[in-house]
Amino acid sequence: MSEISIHKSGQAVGSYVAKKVSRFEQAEYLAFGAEILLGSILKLSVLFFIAAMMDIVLEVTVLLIVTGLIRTLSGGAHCSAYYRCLVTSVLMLTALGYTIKTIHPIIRLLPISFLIGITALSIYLYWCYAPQAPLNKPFKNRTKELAFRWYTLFTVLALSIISISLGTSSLIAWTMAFALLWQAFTLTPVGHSFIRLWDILLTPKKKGGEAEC
Amino acid sequence: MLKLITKSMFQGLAAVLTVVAMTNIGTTSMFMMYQPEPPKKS
Repeated sequence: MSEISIHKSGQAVGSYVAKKVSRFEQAEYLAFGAEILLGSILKLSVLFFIAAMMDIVLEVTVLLIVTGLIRTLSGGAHCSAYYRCLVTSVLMLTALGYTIKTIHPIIRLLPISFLIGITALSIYLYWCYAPQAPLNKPFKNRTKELAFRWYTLFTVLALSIISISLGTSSLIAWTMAFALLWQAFTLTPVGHSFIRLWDILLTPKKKGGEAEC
Repeated sequence: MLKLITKSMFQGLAAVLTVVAMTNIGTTSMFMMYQPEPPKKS
């Protein structure tokens, strides 16, 4: 139901704007942009409303910036409908943010090798599994795929160095490290199964094979 | 005057939507976990 409303709203906005600027041939293109923009605005509003209520705005902001940046380059598991993505994303990011905030007084006492270990594990997972294009938008050629692979690895390496440089006492350092690890997890077969499980759990009517994570 | 302002506003909105569409077609993924169906001409 929500999927239909966001999709239809995007279509309506795209068609209306195309009509207003007399670019009828671009209506589909504008509708695609409108659907992404509307979906993102709604998603961010819900996410930050809940984050503010839980007092984890800083953690969620860092998680969102890191996972968003890496995800744009590496891809990852997808839900099969907008509202399932909304629920899964909000649930995961707020749970992760709250957990990091809660355990920070303990993990800040750990030696730097733990932070290095988490980032090293993340880099290994990106090395093995990145990049992954969505099924409806595959890479056009091998060159582009390789370019995204190197963009991903370079960005992950840069973020890991920043995280380690900040040190174990920094909340942002741990948040960045866990964001890198979470995003790496969504690239793995277990991560795909995990997201697919949420996709199935959030599907109102059970239809075999509907989930396309 | 009002017509010109309205037209400029919609031209701007069309440009924003085009940039959003282009950047999402050119990358592997949206920043969250759902990927709408891209336009067929892409």
